[in-house]
Amino acid sequence: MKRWIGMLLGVLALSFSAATFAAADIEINTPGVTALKQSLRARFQDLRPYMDSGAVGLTADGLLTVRDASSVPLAARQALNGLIAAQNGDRNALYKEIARANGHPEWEGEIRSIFAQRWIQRARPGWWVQSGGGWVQK
Amino acid sequence: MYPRIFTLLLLFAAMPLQAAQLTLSVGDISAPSFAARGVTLSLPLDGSAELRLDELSVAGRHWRKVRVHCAGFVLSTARLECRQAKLNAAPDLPFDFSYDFGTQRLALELSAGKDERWRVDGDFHDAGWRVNVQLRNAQARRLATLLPPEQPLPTQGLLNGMLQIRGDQDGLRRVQGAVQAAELAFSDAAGLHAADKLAGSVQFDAVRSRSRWDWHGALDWQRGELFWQPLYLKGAHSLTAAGSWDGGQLQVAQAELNRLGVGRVELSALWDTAKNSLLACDLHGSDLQLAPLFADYLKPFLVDSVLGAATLSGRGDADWQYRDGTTQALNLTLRDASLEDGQRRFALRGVNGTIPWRAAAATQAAVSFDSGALWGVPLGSSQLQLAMHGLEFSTPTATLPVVDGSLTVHDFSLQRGDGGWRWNFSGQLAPVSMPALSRALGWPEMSGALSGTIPQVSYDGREMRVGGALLFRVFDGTVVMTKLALADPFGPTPLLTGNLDMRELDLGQLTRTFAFGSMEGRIDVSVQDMALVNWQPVQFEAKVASSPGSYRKRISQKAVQNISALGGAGAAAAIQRSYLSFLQDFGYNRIGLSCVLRNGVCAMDGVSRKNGGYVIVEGGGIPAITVMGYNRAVGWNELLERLKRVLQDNTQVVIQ
Amino acid sequence: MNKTWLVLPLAGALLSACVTINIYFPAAAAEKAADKIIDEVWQSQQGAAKPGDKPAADAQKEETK
Repeated sequence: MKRWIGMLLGVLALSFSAATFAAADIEINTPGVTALKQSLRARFQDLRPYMDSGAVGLTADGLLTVRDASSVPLAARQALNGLIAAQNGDRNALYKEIARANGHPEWEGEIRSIFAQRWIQRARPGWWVQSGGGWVQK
Repeated sequence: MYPRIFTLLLLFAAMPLQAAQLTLSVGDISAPSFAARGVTLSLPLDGSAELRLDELSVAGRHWRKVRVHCAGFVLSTARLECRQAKLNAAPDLPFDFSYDFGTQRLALELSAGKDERWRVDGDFHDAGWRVNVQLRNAQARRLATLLPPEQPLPTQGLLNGMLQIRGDQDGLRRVQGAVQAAELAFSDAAGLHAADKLAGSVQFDAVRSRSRWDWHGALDWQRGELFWQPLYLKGAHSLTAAGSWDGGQLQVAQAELNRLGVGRVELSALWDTAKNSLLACDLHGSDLQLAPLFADYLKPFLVDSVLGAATLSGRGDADWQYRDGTTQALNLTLRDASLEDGQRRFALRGVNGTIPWRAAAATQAAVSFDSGALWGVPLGSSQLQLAMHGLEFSTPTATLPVVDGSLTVHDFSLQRGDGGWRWNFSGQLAPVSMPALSRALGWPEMSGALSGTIPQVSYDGREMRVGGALLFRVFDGTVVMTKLALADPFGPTPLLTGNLDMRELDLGQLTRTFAFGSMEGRIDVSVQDMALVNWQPVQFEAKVASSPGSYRKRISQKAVQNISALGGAGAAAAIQRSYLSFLQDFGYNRIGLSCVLRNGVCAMDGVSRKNGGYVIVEGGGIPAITVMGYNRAVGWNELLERLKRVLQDNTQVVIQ
Repeated sequence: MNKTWLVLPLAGALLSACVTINIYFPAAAAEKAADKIIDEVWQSQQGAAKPGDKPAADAQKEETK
């Protein structure tokens, strides 16, 4: 009998927390997120041709990587590397900053995986995304 | 080419010579690093021949269904000959092959196009056998099928030159070669290791005595571009090197690398070929041009670091000693060097000095610079003595001129810990004039001087902290900052936290500086629990209040209007319509305004509550004026907009 | 025997405490937030780039007149 009460309490605690926080919002209107968003958007303009051509693909962990640089002139490949490194730096900072701004730095990993799914889900037709260890074209 | 010829040779040698049938089945042939399965030879009666191999493996590479067709085939006891042969994998490349059983001479010639020719001559008659390979306008892309597919493969380019291999019963004795390449291009699958339009030449000579090879060679890369992630290099490199190889360790006894526009580097190294690791290296470069050296060879590895956007110039000498997996010694001499950050965060100009670093000994570095800047604050000429011991650097005291004052640093220490580089210091700021500092930072010109004591400042690889209280004097008052911390200072979103306490600031100086409309008196400002992300406030509890004590308290018409404007446009208009607009200034008793910022909303309050609002300026004296606020929750961005508008409008008035 | 009965509910409470951490993360809201940011970064909805900039500029003009 007491065991049942224990379980009931457990379920209650569970449902309580679910009920309390399911409606919780994620705060993204902070100066940090805004600054990162602007920086990501500005750099996206430079990266977009490479994403369209398939030189750059979206990774399963919410970042970008070189997929096939053959179509990029040699002299531009180093700059492309730099662009990707900078964009990934900002993306990592974005995941961290959203977690921090919402008072839960430990959420960084979960936020990253949500973003990873959404970036891939919303990738434009023609872009390449990582899926199950291989590359798939949207 | 050599293994390929050898396989053919084996193949034919294994064939029964009295073959008269139309089809010959040899079955399987195997030898070390060579295997062929399902070998058949068909001999139609028209003098041609066709050799089929179901599977062929040479040195780990595999081919299936290999077919060689000889248009003219001659086989006698003295000689084997295959003319105008075609390989099914390369039908555009006919070749002739012959082997003389008596003299044991082999000849293979591939030719295509106008003047492409690959010629292999082998002489196996003596114990000392030799193979010569001659290339004339040889298409480099033909080598792609012979190379492991995961490596960068040639796609274009012409090769000219020769390769000479000599051997005896024990194996290879000498390998010599001289090849010139033109318009050479190669790439791996992802395009991360690729080259285009390479032109240059390679020469090498390696001689074996017992189990040891002695070699020397030269590489002259004249033109073309190379991308070897993350490096991007252009031609004008040349290398000469000599050394030995004992089967396990490759020794580069002496090498000299020249790069046009950079200088000459001499090096010696020991490489473990089995483990693929560097065992030892000594590198020496004199009077190198630092700009291309840094931009081309170092910066690509530093994209994620503070130096990722920097440029380095000047000249320098470098001596690097590497043993047992780490750097043992590094001597750097800088001559008139400059380091500039592309994002204008830091700069050092006219840097001269010597840095004799040792991994396991205490040494002293002496570095001076003519000028510099840190976040826009100019630094003057300084001379620094730095004690070094491994990854620990320290200096007991140093003085840096800052604008027109100076920062004296005490007990600076820098060391490499688990979480990266850590440093700490304490210091003293001798008066820096505020007008000069604010000009340097692009702020509104402030009067007064900045001076104070800097207690312990430390950085743990992630966060910069100020221990104790940071004390400054500005606007004739005092500023005390406590619990100051700056996380991720060079990252995309630095986070600044701390408390700020300002006492008895001169309102006259303050309002003149920010063109707010003149006020007289003194105020205390307290900002507690402050957090700035990317230098923008996200939370704080701020309070501005008249300082205790007796002093002259006047507030100008303009200032009243501006304070009212912060509460919205309506209030200012109301004043202008009333008789108050004729008066220049008013007396007041107390001023007070507070804002608790949370989630982008500022919860406001004043010196006291009255009629459902709060008093911002409590009137006193003659004529007196009271300014009330009614809006308790104001969006922070809206408030900033209003403040900006007020200050902008006033600036325009000043200009007129 | 008695002790076991005491421990079980405690264990249950602990277990549920552990589980709540996962449920606590507002995945749906995070997804919505991510979509909003992704739209802005990739400018998926053209024209919705910078709300608020223009009205402020207009207001300023009026005042300087």
